[in-house]
Amino acid sequence: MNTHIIKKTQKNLILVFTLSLFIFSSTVFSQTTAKLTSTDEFGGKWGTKVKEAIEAMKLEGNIEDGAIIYEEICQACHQPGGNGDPGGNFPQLAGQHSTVIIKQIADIRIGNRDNPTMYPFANIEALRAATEDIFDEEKSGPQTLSDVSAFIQTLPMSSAIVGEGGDLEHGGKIYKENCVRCHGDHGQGDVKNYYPVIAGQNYHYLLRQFRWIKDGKRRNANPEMVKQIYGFSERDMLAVMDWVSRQTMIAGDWDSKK
Amino acid sequence: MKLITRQSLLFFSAFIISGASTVFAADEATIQRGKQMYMSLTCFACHGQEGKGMVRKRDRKSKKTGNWKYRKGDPMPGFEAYPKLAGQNSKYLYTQMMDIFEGRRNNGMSAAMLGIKIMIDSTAKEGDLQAVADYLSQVSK
Repeated sequence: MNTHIIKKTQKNLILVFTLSLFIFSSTVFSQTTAKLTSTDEFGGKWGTKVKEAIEAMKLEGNIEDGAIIYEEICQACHQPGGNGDPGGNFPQLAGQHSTVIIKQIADIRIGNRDNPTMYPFANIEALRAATEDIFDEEKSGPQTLSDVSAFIQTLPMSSAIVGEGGDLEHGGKIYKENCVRCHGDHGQGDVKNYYPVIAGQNYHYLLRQFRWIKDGKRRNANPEMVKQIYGFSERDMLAVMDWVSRQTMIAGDWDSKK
Repeated sequence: MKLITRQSLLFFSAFIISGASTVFAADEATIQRGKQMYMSLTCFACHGQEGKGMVRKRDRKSKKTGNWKYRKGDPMPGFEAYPKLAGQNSKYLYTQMMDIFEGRRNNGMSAAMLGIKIMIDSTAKEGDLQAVADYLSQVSK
């Protein structure tokens, strides 16, 4: 009799324990899920969900340290001036909004944009690790990212790699009709909404990305853009990219618009 | 005695030929070209200086515990899956490069390397990749 009661209590205990474990784990799980899917933390649905990136955007970047980090990590491919390679394998980063740099790195890291070559450098912890050999004081991952993106924005961009130039009037017209609302009247983008600077970008790179966005291969493209460019002909595309690649940034383009 | 003389004569002439400056200059030029291409084609960004892998450049101690966090030469986090190439056979290096760029090899980190194909196509000249392989093969491990 006694042993029977003990056994029953044990059974109940086990049941209670299992149940509480289940409830506990499900709350933990739902919390994690909620964190990962929260889109309102920074920049709404077009923002980033990567914790380190959100933190990096809130920090003030140290441009001098950013220059050292850039030299150590980024310039191997994006070249010392940040203008990329002439063939457009590696894009021009010079002059890009720091917010765009951070968001793209976060997107590559989280698998929202496919870029296997860039992937190890987009791992913010690895980025921190790769630069910790240089500085005596330890830096956090978000600070590393904030520093280097702040530096990249200060690099002077070049509009050296352009298209054939035969259809610029058409390109300018198509641009005004379709692209101004987000990318600005001369491709300056928007720092606050992560719309990239496309002015002066390498023509070959622009073309490739545009095709990828149109075909759905570049998965982190703004769905509104995918819709907007759906009807573009080959001629429209070549002309717009050529026109954009010839634009230059002007003072004030990097300021956040209210 | 006669045989020995002939042998030593052969050996001597072989020594002269192999030691001729023109032979060395050609090899040295290829290696220098390979070394230059290894940098300009951005190979070193993932495979490290001289193909020795991405490694720590200094020692670092943890400020909290005082223990070693890492030592010079330890693998760099994020790059553990990228191979060291220094001292590898030239023929192997070359065939792997071609297999990756021509799509026959697609395992491991080869997708990362395929990402520079546009650069290879737009800048590398005939013989450049072979030169990179030759250069890497003669670097000491």
